[in-house]
Amino acid sequence: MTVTRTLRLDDDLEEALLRMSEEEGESVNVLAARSLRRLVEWQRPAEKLGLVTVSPRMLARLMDTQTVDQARELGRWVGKEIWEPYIRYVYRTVTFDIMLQSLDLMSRYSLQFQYDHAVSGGRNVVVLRHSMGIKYSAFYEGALLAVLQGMLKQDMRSSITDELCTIEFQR
Amino acid sequence: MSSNAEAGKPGKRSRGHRSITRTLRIDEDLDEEIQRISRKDRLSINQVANRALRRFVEWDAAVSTRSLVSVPSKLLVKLMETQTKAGARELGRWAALELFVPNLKAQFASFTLDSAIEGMSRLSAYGGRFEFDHTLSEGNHVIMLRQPFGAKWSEYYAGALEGVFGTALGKKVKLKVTDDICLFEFQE
Repeated sequence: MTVTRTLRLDDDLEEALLRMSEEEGESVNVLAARSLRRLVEWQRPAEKLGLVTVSPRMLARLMDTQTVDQARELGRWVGKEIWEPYIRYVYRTVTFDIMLQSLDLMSRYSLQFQYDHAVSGGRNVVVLRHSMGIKYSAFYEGALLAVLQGMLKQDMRSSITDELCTIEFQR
Repeated sequence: MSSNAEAGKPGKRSRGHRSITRTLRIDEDLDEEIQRISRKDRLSINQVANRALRRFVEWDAAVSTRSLVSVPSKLLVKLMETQTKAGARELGRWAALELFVPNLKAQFASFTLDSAIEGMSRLSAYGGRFEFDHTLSEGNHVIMLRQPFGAKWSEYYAGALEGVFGTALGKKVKLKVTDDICLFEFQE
């Protein structure tokens, strides 16, 4: 169901929204609802958890000083110390489905990677696709394994390429 | 002129603007969440919505165009640990000239002192990495950048400020750096 809200907007803000609406071919209502949804789903928890915005080229430069193994270890640290607490904070519990929801949110809003999940005959495949090189693939591998193995307590197969991190397991 | 006046800051209502009434239709669950935020932050729903919309037009659209990503600040601190102070400052210069200046040109269609200051203000207001303050008094610009991520990040921002205002804009700059502050001065 939808509800009606009447707002008073500064005229410069209204003009900017109208301009964006014209450029993107979407109604002001759609753009406004998207911005409010983003506030609720992403911005609020991101602020609480100290997420900051940075250029991916800058991140790649910083990651250059790490070896692949160090990048993987850094990913494990982020998985345990930041990602899992983030899931607990936002969703109050950590389950596989909720972890997938959090991957979907990160994929849509943090813009670090694209994410896919497929299931076939009990075999789960989680794939993260990005454009930041093998060290970031190792980083994501470490983070995913830290959260998934901590939660599901089972062996998993993982592989990385320059652009992909793939995790497979039976469930 | 002082760019730290509330009215001119990103995310703030500008002086002299009138307001316009707009009616939106939004999903009920979204409306409930906005009401919850409004109660928690002790702001009117109108204020919550205006802030979200202003951020959307001033920042989020530009972020997706420039493919900026969100990461935990603790990760940035860890990654910077392996740099020397000189390396961190050089990285800041590189980021200023290779990333910040080209992005400003794309966003504002020009690169000037005003657009550089506006770009820094927006990065500060929405990027979450530092606080930024700028004052101008009798032709003397003073910029203060405060950040919580340690000495190497201060060196990084010193390099970035040198890159933007010194190298790219040709200002003769005076710089003071501490573990959490870069204080930067130059003449008009």
